[in-house]
Amino acid sequence: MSMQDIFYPYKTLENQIEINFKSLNNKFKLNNNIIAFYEAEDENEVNIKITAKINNIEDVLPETFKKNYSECLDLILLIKSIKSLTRKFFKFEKQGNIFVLEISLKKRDWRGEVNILASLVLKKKIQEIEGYAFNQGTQLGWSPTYKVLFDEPEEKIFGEGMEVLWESFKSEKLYWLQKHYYKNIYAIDLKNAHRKLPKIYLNKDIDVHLKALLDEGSAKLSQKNLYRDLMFQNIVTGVFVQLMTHSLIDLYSELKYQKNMSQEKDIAIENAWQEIALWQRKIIENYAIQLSPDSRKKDALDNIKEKLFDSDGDFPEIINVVQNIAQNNQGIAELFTKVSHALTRFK
Amino acid sequence: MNVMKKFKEILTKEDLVSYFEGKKFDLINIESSIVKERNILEDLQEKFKNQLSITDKKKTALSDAIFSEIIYKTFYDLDNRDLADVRFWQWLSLEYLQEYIWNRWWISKNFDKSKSLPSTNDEKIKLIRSTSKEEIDIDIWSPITVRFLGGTSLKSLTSRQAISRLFWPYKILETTELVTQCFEKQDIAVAVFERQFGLHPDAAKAFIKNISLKHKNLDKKSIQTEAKKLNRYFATISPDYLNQDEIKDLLFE
Repeated sequence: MSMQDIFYPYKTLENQIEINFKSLNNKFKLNNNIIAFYEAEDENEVNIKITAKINNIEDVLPETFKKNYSECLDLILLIKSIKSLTRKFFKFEKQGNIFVLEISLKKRDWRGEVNILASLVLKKKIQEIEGYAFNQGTQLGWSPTYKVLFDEPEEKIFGEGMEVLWESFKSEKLYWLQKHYYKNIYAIDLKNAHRKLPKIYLNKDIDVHLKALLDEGSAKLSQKNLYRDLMFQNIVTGVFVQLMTHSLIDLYSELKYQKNMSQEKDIAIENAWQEIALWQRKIIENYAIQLSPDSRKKDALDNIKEKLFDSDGDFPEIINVVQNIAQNNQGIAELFTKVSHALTRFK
Repeated sequence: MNVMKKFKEILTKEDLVSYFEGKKFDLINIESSIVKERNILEDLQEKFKNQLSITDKKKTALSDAIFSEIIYKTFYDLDNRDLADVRFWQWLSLEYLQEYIWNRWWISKNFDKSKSLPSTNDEKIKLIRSTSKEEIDIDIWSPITVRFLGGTSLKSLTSRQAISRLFWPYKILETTELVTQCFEKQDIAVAVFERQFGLHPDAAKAFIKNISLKHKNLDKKSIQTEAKKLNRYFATISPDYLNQDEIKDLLFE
């Protein structure tokens, strides 16, 4: 069963539409369905050829319309970019069994990320038959989404961890640590947190033995490595608590701000959610069920947003458990126990 | 030659405070190759000032359509890439059109409280940021900050940022008549341009042309309900595939 069957009350294609998405400019290569246009200097446009083949296309139509399905179905290419405030569509041309289309995207028309996908739609309104779509323009199948990035993404998106860097806390670069915090072991840089995933700094000036221990990469079970793990655990917990707290404060503050704009509740909540950084949305989303443990899993995130929007009293309650969530998830009890056993044994 | 600029980085709320404290932010040229006549920005300022002088300060919102036409006709030929760049609108707002923004979004909202325009930067800072009195200190930002800064969500340029929200509806709707209808009742502008279908010209036009036919008194609730209904249709129907008449049929279904 295709994913869409769950959400659409009518028959859709069993499988995704397979398309061949090819840049006609040699400079641009498709990588994970993405063309990074911004990497090529002095280029003003990208030309793309898209071909598609759809098996059992007629299955989305009631029996009566199956025979002359091409009179009822169109394959279109949808191009959307929120950053560019633009959406466009083009119709594919049918050449035998294959749908073909060539498009040209000019740099001057687009900003940021442009999403491109093919969609099978109903060409005209047809007789209403239960279980089948009948309204003109109804979408009946989709290809995977391809992206053209006209600007470098402001945030790393998936699969990349936080950057950890050794720096002197006395340096100009970390000016906010210079005066009072230069002896600290680690610090989180939240300066551009509204745009980018924060960085973690480890202090280059700490004791050489401590530095060597933190640099130790061995996974072997030893007393030394246990001490190291304990130190890491301390850092990881501190970082997690700060990131989560920062994200919740930003969301709460943004919700209050949007509330002041006196608009519809659902729009205000959605606006606030979109206004915080992607990494902040991810961390709240990933731990939503623990932030709102009495919710059903699928409702947890919405419940948190609504709670924070509706009542000021719920904010301290939610913030209060961040430390506990850290303990639940960062394996603190397990490590502490392991260390205590080891210390008793090594004595 | 008058080269249009933009801030090098998007200004944040904290940056806005720093701006009013006197900090200078780096500027870069916009990317459009269009060369504007000399003094276009001073002319724009003059036009805004003249229009403000004949506008009832309690009802600046009623002149949105007039300001919309002025701003559209000044910048319509810039590349879309620049027009969708919030840094350009932030620069234009802070460097040239501040007076309009304070009038439109501060004075008109506080007219009954006998508030006057903030005359010093200190007054501006006090107006835009305060601190909550709760257990945890949280900055409370005045809604006017979004009028200077926009934001990152879809609606920030089409509906929030004080100057781009005048430009984009005109660009999408294309005629003064429709823009007037759109801003005549602010709930219509919000209902259309805070939703994704507002970016689809035929959908936006069809909604604005027909909402007053379906609901003569144009009450807020009916406008919101119709916008939500259309939005629901567009969860399964591609608005891009439909023309205005076909979208009108959905509205009246």
